[in-house]
Amino acid sequence: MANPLNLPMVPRALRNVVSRPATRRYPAEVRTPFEGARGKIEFDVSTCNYCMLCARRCPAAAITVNREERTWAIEHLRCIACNVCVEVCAKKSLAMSNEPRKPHTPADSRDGHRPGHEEWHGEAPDAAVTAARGSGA
Amino acid sequence: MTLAFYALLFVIVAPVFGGLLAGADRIVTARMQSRVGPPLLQPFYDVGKLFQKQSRLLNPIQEPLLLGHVVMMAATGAMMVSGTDLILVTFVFALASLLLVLAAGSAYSPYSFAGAERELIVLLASEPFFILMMAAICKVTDASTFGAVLASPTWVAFQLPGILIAFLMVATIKLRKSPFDISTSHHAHQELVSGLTSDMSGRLLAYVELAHWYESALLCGFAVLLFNWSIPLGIGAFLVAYAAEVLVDNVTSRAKWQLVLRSTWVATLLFAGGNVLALFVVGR
Amino acid sequence: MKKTIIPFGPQHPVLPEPLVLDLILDDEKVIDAVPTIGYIHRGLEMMVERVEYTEMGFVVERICGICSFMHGMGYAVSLESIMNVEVPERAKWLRLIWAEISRVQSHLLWLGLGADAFGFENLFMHCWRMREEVLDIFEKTTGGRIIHSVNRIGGVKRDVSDSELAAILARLQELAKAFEETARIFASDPSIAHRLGGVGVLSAADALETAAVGPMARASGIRTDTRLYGANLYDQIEFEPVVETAGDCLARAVVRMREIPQSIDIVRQAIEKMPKGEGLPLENKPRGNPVGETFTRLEQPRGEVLYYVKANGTKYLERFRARTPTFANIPAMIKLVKGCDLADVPNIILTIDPCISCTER
Repeated sequence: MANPLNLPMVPRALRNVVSRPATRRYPAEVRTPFEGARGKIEFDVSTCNYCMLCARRCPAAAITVNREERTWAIEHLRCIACNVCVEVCAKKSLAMSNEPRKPHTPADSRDGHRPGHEEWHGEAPDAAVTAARGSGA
Repeated sequence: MTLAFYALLFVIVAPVFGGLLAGADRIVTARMQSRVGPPLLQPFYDVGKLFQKQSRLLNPIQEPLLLGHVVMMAATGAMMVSGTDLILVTFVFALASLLLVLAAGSAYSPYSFAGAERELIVLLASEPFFILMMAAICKVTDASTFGAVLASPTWVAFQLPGILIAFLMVATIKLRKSPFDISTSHHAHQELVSGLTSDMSGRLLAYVELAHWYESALLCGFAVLLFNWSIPLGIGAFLVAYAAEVLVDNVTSRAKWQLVLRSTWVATLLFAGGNVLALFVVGR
Repeated sequence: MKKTIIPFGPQHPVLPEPLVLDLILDDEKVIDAVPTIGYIHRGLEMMVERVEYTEMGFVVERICGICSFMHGMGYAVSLESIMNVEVPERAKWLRLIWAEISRVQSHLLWLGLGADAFGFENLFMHCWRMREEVLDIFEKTTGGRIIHSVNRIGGVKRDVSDSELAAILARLQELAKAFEETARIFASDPSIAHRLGGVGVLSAADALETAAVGPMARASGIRTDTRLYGANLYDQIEFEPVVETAGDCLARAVVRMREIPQSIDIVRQAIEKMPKGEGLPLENKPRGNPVGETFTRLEQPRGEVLYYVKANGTKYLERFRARTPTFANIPAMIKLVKGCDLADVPNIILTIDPCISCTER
């Protein structure tokens, strides 16, 4: 049998005691996300032409667009942050932020509130809509 | 009257000491694993929370058994510091440990049952040593109570170096440290889930924790017996030994029960038994 | 004496995933083990009927969180071979690099889980801390730590600049150097030798008979590695599969340990051989819908994975099937579990590197 007093982990364990811990006190101390990290989808309502391409291509069906009422909504809890909607958006209304979403607590779903649901209302339909309808189909 | 005061003092101070020790243990363990670790008072928060939680009582016998475990553990220490015969203290200590085995064995979970069987094995591994240690201490000091051993002019540790070595090994079992944490461990990440304590929840688990704090304090008392020139020295020696246990816990994997039994018995026989034998030969 | 039956799983702290093994014990000896699977079946293969083939890649990637890159790559490669899409050179190399980095990540994860199973918590933390560095590389280059979503049919979505690749290689080589200490601990610690040495010995004949794959077979002395067939540019890489002959749990750990520096070396070779420069093409978008069927084999960290895809010219595939390495290794595991000690069960189960999510999909 091997020598029971030869414990090769000892130097490592002792070195760890004197060096800085690898973990951090998470909610108090948050790591800055990396440049290219996929965090959450950000939407710019002013440039959207409601072509619905993002909603159709979303693998998770997280995006709902209503062209008539000019609303754009995303369920962040369904979103898988695959970046497809950002890639297909012709108007560059969508962007992927590298900041991850904050975790939800039970308090977020009180009073009938849907956690992770975000909705935007555009301005009243104008000529741009008709143009978008023509090209979007 | 003073003896009763010491007993009361142990019952009150021991859990505080044991809890703080557990808290410090968790911080040092975390640092050895290069984690930040919990606050020092975390064990107290944990036990406090366990008392608030709903307890699933599996059968009517488990709670009395566990309560008995805590009370007996506290009583062992109280008896020790209030001048009961040390051999008797050892037997009460064994009985206290046995109540935990019974409580675990009364549960329905096979994990808990297998854990109870393993706890019996580790009791089998550790008890002969404690009896031998107490007998040796009584022999070299010619005293039979805690106070008398402390008052004795003989320096126990110098007479019993072999017992000291074996004590370190057996304390690993009692403190539930790797490599000897086969019946239950602090991490609940073993083949028996949490072994002995798998079926305990809420305040039942809190009793086990509390008893473990008493047990740590009791082991500290044993260390004081071995370093009988002064109480602070004994406590200091125990803290050093505890730090060594934490280190060993962090640099070894969990042994199988066969190895636990074999190595502790070999250590008891070789170091403790050899020590006692040498005393008789030299003393003649 | 009445026999004890220990339900090992579906919820068990030693197992990362829900596998059930009813262990029939005599004292602490395992007489028989009855496996049950099906606790994490999510019907992902069935989803091809409802999810368009272009989006199915994201589903396939989610078969498993550890081999997610390889699953995404396997699906993309299958569809590319059906649709005759030529993948740009640089994209192929990037795929190979990411695949090997994910092997490093997977093996580090496994070494940690293995250490946890035999009660070595410190080594577990140690391995996982190293793995975090590899995940950081993934997050920087692909945007995700676990689910990367960079594979598309016809190429990859993101480029990694040449300077970034050099930095990644430097970091990986640093990691390989730091890993030497961990490897030494695994190889020389007496308590690890006590728990792993001579436990669960799978002979070469048994490995062949039970059709074990990947590190499991290689630890029993069988030179098998799907990368040897040379697909996906592996023909341009010089490497020799790591083979151990002991066949016990320790050998299986050693195979994975030795594969980590090997994978890092493959990354080095790939970075040297890939076409350099900015703005090289990364994606050739496929046209139309796929028709035909194909098999694809890849060497995942856990062993050989096999994808079968059948397409019928619509945007929904007719059949998608993945046979994952864990599925192939379960018979060998059951064979080993019989007759061992209860304390050895976690080690034997973990040394096949079980991925139940992969197995059940």
